[in-house]
Amino acid sequence: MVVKKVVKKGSKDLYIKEIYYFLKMVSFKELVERIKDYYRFSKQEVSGLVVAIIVTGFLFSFRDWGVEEFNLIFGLKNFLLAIIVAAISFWFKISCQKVYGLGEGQDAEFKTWWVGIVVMLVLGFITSGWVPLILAGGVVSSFMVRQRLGEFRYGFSTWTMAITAMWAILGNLILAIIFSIGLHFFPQSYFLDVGMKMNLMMAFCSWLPFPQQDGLALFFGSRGLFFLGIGATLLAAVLLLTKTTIGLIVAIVIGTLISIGYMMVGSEK
Amino acid sequence: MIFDKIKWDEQWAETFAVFFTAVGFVIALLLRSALFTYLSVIVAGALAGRLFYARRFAQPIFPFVMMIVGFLVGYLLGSFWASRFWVLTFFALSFGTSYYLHLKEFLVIFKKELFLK
Repeated sequence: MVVKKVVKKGSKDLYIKEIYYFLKMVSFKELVERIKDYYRFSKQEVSGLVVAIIVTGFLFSFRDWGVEEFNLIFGLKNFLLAIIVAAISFWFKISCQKVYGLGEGQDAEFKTWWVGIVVMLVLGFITSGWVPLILAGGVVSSFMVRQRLGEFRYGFSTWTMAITAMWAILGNLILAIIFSIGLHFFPQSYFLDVGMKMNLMMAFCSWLPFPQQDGLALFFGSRGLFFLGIGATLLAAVLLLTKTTIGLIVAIVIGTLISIGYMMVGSEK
Repeated sequence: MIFDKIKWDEQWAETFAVFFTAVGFVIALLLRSALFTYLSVIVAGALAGRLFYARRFAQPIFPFVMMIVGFLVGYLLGSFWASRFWVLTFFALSFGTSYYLHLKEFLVIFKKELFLK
């Protein structure tokens, strides 16, 4: 699709045109090829993620090492389940960001925030696991020269970085809804319960505008998206944490409408 | 206000050292378990080792040493529920191990060849 209308600089039409160009997608075949060629987790990403996953799993299972007294087997089982949930959540969230980045000609890589991991661990100890923050780091993007040739506005874009950061929140919210659907059918499941709570917390912490977190790219990339991010997270938290059927349905409907809108606006070029 | 009286361009190092002393004290005070106190000081020592490694050839280095020592002093003062000797020992061991592992490049600082910012 080509925007033929001649627009003046600074006009509303130009703004809409820019949004269109930033939301567009590369052709599906091209995206698949880019994923085949460039979708990977580097050694330093994996080493950081392993630590982040273990610490996150530990914090979310901190209060589940026995009902009335300490129970090692019970605790280890919960710890293992929380680790699996953390691994799925981190993988899905970062994959969303990487795939979007590749579509835009940017190589997104997870950068571990070691200070954040220490902060979340110490805060978890101090509050006895009541405040399990997830400050494990965020994604940094780099410019892929060959994949940007011929693109509108060739240079590096803070808006693209903001959308990449936004995908961290969206990825977690999608997973939270999926876990919540499972929880609707299996209300006693520890795995699904932790999954929903962890993803909501992860979405909130991704939004925080700290250095090394995705929220900072979102804050400087687009103030509107920044507030949309916290709004979406709080809305999802209210709808999902109440564990009511109507809340779940409303969350799914809103998510579906946004997805349809995104796909319609961002059609293939 | 006390913040208005601070000359930040000259006294930032001392101010942050005092701040980290307070942070260390509060953290140690709130951790009411010896095990968690030791675990926290181990991760804090590892982090301090990483910070020292990252800044070792950059000047000024002394303010960062002051901040690390300030945190340790505060932590030691607040360690009412754990042995101060073991807190100091664990911090030193973890600091040394972390610094050595960074030096031998078992632990690395994030580096992205394509990274532009």
